Amino acid sequence: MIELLNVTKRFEQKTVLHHLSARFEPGTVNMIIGSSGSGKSVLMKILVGLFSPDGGKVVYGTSDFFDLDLEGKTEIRKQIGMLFQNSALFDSLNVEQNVLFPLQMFSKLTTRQQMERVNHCLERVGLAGTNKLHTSQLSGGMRKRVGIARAIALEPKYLFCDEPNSGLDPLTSIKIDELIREITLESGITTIVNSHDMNSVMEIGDHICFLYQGKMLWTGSKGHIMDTDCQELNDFVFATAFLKQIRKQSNGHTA
Amino acid sequence: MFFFYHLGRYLLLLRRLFKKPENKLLYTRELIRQMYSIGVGSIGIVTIIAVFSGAVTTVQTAYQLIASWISKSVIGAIVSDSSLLELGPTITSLVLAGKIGSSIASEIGTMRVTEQIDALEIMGINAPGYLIGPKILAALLTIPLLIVLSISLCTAGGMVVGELTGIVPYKLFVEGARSSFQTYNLFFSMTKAITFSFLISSISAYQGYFVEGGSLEVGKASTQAVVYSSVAILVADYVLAQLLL
Repeated sequence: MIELLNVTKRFEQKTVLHHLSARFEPGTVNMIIGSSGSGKSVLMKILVGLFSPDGGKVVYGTSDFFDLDLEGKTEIRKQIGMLFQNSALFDSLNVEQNVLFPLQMFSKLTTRQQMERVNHCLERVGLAGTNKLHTSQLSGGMRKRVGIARAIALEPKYLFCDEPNSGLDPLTSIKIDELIREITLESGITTIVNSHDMNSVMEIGDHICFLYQGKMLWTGSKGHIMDTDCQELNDFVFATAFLKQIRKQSNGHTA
Repeated sequence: MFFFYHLGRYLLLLRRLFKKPENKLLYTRELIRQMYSIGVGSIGIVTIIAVFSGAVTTVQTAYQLIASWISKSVIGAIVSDSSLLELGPTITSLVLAGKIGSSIASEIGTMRVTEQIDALEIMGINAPGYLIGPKILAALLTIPLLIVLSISLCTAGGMVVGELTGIVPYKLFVEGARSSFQTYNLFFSMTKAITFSFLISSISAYQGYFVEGGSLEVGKASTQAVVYSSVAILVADYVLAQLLL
């Protein structure tokens, strides 16, 4: 479980996050949504400890992350897997070496066990047999999959995904979404996904937090997102002409 | 103010290198990779620079020594001493600042803007320790060896050109070089080599580590790494000469 308690972040004079509080439960996919510039990425960086908040707490289990010493933080970080927007694969390593890297760095497995784990992770993301490919030979979707394989290599308790669908075609996006959801449920991971893709939200989101200008204006489940009174969320959800049309038809039908 | 801000941040970054490695084997592997890249990868350019520096020094020294009563062995003494004191350590380091400095800054800078450094930190890895530590250590281990090679080739280049062009017979050249050799000069030269190695690698790593933005900024950081490393080498060269000679 991860809990945000009254988190505030400022850059110089500008407050980009205003007193955010939320709770993310294990075995659920938690979506942080909002338009560009709403503070999603800053919040994600605070959650994983890359930025420290100016106020408030980020609690992992029972520990306030920013109160921990370096060793404590490292221990929690070993339980974190992260999929980056651009995958952030290590350019100098091939697919196998990328997934192997966290295992070699931290696990106490034998070399053979490590390789078995690498092959299992690659198989799990549908990339069995791609071990020796260089990262420059991968498509956008494959890079994301390798990123996921690397993120789950150490069997994390927490999985963070920053814009997992950016730059992907709709079909590949759905596959990546399904993969994130399956992995979350299989291992009871606490997953937090940063996205502005409403397809993803409706596909895999169990718990949704809507950020608007650094404020958490709405939290709830996807079942309630369509009939919310929050105007800013409505504007965000029904931003496309296609969805506006659906809502119009739906309202007409109801009337 | 600007200078002290960067100096402080540079020192704080260096402090982060002295943390226990998460996995000694991986750090050692990275050190060997860097030693190969910095050391073996620079042999070619160092050879060319050294041989031609020595050759030019021989020709120009002979040109300036027009008095017939001066022994030609002096050319050997001047070329070997210049190679040992200045051409070997300083000129080689300035060239390496261009080659290695830009490479280190652009490699680390690219890792920064593509979030690879963030990925390391989120994994719980001490990113400066893993990325910068092996590079500095590799530079400290290999650049002094490259400078020894440079000094040798510079002197040899001068000697060969002296012999081939008839400026100074090789026996006289060697006689002059031997007569002027002082062990202390070798110590001074190696002190410079170690100092310059540290400056090139650490300044370049600093420039790359704090890049913000995209590919344009990585290019700028790479250029700044070369400029600041070169200036630092020249300043340190003067300070060491003042202190040790």
